[in-house]
Amino acid sequence: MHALTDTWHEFKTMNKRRRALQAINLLLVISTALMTWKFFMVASWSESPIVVVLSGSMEPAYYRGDILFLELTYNPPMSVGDVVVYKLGDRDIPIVHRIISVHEEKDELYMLTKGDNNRVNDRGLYSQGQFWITRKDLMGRVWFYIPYVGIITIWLNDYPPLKYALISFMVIVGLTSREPQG
Amino acid sequence: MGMMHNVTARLNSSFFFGVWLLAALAALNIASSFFIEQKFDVKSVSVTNMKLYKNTRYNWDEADMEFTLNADLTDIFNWNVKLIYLYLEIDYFNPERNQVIVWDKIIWRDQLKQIKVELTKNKGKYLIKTKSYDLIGRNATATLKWEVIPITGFVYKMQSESVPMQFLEKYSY
Repeated sequence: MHALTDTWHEFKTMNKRRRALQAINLLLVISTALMTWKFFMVASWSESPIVVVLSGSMEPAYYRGDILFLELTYNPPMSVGDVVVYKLGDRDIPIVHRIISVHEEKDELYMLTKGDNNRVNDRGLYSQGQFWITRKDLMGRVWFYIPYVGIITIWLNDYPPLKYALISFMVIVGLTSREPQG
Repeated sequence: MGMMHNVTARLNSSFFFGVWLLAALAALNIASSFFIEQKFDVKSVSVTNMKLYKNTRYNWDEADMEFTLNADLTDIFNWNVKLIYLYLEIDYFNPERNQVIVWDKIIWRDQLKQIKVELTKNKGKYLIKTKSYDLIGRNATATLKWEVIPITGFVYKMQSESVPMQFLEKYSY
């Protein structure tokens, strides 16, 4: 409670100029973050340059909450053994699995995938009559990995109150922190 | 009015300092292990007892085989290696690029044991199913490869020398 009254007191004692400065600061931080994200998207050729693992089908290599960096440069070309993230048709959920076979035919690349922790390949997941995934289904190939850290985004997604609390916290801090005086 | 007596400011500082510290440690972990030479000793890879089948339902060829492996991968592991995904890859051209994994195994780090893989006449784990009838008499190569999954950092692959092989000249019925 004390924290809230302190915060409100600080906010009230700021003059208009300071409040404007705080707001601009906050916008600067947000836009820098956005720029970094967009830069990542361009450099990796992928729409989702960083993803969080949502399922346990790639254990023990990747667990729920692990963060994966993706790239879609096709350099080197997609090969078996690569771990890729792909989406099927119109379904929303990205799947992180390993490529176990590759067949190039004319200008298309046909791939079959399987999760390390699954006994069977992904044909059961693919659409009816679909035996392979192709380039258009891919979101990227894993090149960098950070464990555990992404579990926070899973919590935030599963418990909305947590998300609101975090955003409020960040806004409060963004609006009331100031440079040291003297 | 100092800025640090505010509880939210304290929480903010400690949290981001902690994050910064973790990131620095992770970077150190990666940097310190990047240049370590990872030696391996693959003594032999061979493929025998091939079988070839024609799948007329899906219009593709299927192949089965036994293989023999002898490899010592102890020196691949350093403090930044979590596990390796080891697999036997078969490559062939028809004339386009085709690759299939016929066997795989996940190997964890074990400080005390030597990481040796010795399999004789092991049945292939995955039947090769191609995309069309393209395997008869086809020349191919078998390569033992592995992907190194670090504790944190870059994910990369390594391989040993390729061994030539050939699919059967006619179907085994």
